[in-house]
Amino acid sequence: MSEYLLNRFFYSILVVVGVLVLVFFIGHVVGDPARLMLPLEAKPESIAKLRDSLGLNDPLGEQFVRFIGNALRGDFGDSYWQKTPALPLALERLPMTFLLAGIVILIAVPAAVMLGSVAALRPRSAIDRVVNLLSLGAVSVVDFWLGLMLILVFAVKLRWFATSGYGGLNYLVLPVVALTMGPLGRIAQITRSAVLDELSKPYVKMARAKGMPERRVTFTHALKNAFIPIITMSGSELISLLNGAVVIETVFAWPGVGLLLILAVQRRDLPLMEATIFLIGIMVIIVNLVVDLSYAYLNPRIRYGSKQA
Amino acid sequence: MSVQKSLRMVPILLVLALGISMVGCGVPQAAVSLPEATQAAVPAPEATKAEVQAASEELVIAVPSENVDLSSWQAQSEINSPGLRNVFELLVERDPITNELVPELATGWEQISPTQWRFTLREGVTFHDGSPFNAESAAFGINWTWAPENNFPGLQFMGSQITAEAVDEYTLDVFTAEPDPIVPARMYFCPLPSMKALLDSPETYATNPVGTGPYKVAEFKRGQEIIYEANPEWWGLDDPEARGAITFQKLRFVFRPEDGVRAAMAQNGEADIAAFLTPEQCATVDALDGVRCESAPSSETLMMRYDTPSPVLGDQRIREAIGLAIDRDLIIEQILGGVGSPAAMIIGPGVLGWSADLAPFAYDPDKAKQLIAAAKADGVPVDSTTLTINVRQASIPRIAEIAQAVQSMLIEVGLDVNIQVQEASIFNPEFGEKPTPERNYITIHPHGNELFDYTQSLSYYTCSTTVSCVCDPELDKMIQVARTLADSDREEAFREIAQYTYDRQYIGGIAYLGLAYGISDRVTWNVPLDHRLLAKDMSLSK
Repeated sequence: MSEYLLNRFFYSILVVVGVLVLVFFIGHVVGDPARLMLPLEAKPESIAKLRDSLGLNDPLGEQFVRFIGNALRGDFGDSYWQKTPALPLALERLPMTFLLAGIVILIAVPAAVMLGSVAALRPRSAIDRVVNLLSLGAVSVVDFWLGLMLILVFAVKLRWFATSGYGGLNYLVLPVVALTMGPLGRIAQITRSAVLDELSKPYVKMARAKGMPERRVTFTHALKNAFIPIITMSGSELISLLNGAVVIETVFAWPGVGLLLILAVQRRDLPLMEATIFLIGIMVIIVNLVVDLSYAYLNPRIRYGSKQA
Repeated sequence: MSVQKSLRMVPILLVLALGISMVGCGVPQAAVSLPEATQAAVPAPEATKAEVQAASEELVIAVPSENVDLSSWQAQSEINSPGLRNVFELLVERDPITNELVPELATGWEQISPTQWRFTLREGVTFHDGSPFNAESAAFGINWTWAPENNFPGLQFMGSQITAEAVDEYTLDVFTAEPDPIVPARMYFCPLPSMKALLDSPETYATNPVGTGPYKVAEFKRGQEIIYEANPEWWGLDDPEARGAITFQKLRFVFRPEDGVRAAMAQNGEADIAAFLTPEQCATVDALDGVRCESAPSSETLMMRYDTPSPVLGDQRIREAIGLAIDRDLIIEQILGGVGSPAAMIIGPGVLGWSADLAPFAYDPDKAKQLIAAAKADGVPVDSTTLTINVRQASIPRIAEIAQAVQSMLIEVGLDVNIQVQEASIFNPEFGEKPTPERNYITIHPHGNELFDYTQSLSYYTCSTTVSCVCDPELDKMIQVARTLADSDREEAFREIAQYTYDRQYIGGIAYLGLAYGISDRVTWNVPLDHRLLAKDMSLSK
């Protein structure tokens, strides 16, 4: 196991470095930050001076060596936009992103598993059709539109919640609802098909033949085995929430990592882009690792680290 | 197995990295087009020290973007640094209603020689750190703001090199490299920081703003809001010359990039002022009780910059035909929400040099066709040349629709036109390149004259500047002379240049753009022409 973890750690570092290299080169090829920071009418000498002060006039190779050297020490330089170190700027957004993503996953996964299992227990019944319809609807709704509609109905008309911003429960409900829909629908559908799949397997027939109660057959045996695709899907949903809740974060002005990254891209703030992507990369790796390790728990046949496995 | 799993993540991360590097997700700033400031003038409020201590109200303003940083020079731009002008003050301010230059930290000014101006400074003013405001600190602040080594982007609006020198405690001399009759207007671009703070801790210049204004920064929550609190020591509390009062103890500028959300905040009372609403949002807000929409022209004009080296666009008749082929009223009515004002020049009302005598081209497609036919008869290669309408994605809301409307109007009169909507990273560098005869661009984009003086916009007409697609030596001479003139001579020279450029249509006007705000009825505020969100100009409605 520890050998496996060491291996994973090593390859994770390679992946992070690979992403950073890519971001560095693409970031330097696409768009000139100095051009975007200055007004359109800026004189060429002002642009040249700004490029010089940002270190953008140095040969690309030299910039790259400097960048990798500093990045390995966690120093991504000062944000061009906010004139303060980039990594702390990105780090201070993490709690907000974790809060939103965590609550969404904590609501979406149990609710979706319950809905999917109930639907799978009675295939083609009215309840199955309702769950199908609801989950399809949840997957199909455009989150941007949903966000604005929630604001108009619950914040403007009913005045139950705040329109936007970061704060207590009052601020949390609408973005959570808007973000929960997609994962809820997708995980419910995966759960339904995975549980159905398991219920048709011989061991279930065996369990039923032994006279095991249906509830135990479904929830203890079938559902546990169906959990591998559910966990995989939930992991992928969590990853997209950690880095891809950009639209909802923008609509609700939720100060998370996604919104920060979009603002950094708009301003071609290379240090901030690099720091944010570095953080997102780390989060993706951790979530994937947790998902992989959970496989071994759910399916004892999976063993990590053993050459025979 | 572990290698495969790690490698499986690579494509995901590659897509992620590529996506975020290549996507330009512009958050559009809402702008509406308006003829003139329509609101009734309300006298500036006044307050006393006793009143400011009693002021407990909080004012919430929803703005589209957060502060870039808190450097004094950033306070020039409300978009770059919302509310920061409440912290820093200027030698010379603009009257929010008339837009005329009025005293702020200077009480008077005079031109001593073509390259020297003398300012008399206000006495009894202190910075937030307790240091005195005097000629020495003002000179230091001005020299810092214009220092070539600092290379602040704001220098783009600030003209030729300026240096300042203290004459005595409250007399300041400002020198320019070239004769410059509009130094007071330039001082409007120079928010003054504390000399003591700059000398003690220059590294905190961008994060710890120390000015003389009615408010200080209490807290800057990045990505969320910036909170300003009243400065009980503000010199203007008992001074009518401050042209304003502290009505609000606390100002909260909250950052909301989505304009629909800002409008919603105005509608449900979460924000007292919501900046930059679209015309549709304005209509919704106006239909509600307790909130209204107010707007004023901005310094922005939507214009068409022609590539004059083009064999087609180089012909004056074609440029005139384009001017006549465009139905400005239709564009303003259908795309800009019906509150627009057709533009004849690249500067709008309120800017020195704007001429009311020049009428926007009337929509006359028949005359446009005649002009094109006449050009064709003289061998202008209209049929064999494809013109390109070039716009920057999200430069103003609905810019792509405007480009499509213009395209169809030009096709209607017989021109061959296509459209190119470009992302900023491609558009901006190209904007600063001199056109080739093969390029054939009609670039439609907004231009802002922040200096409120025609000279800033004239860089679009001179041979040497990168943004100009024109080279007319006679016009160059006229501009050169006008820059050195003052008062009525300057106005006369501007009038001549305006007429000259209007006759030749080197650049065509489309619309004067304005900006609109959702404002709670509990707040009284005249939207100023410079669109600065100054709390001292705002008061509680009686």
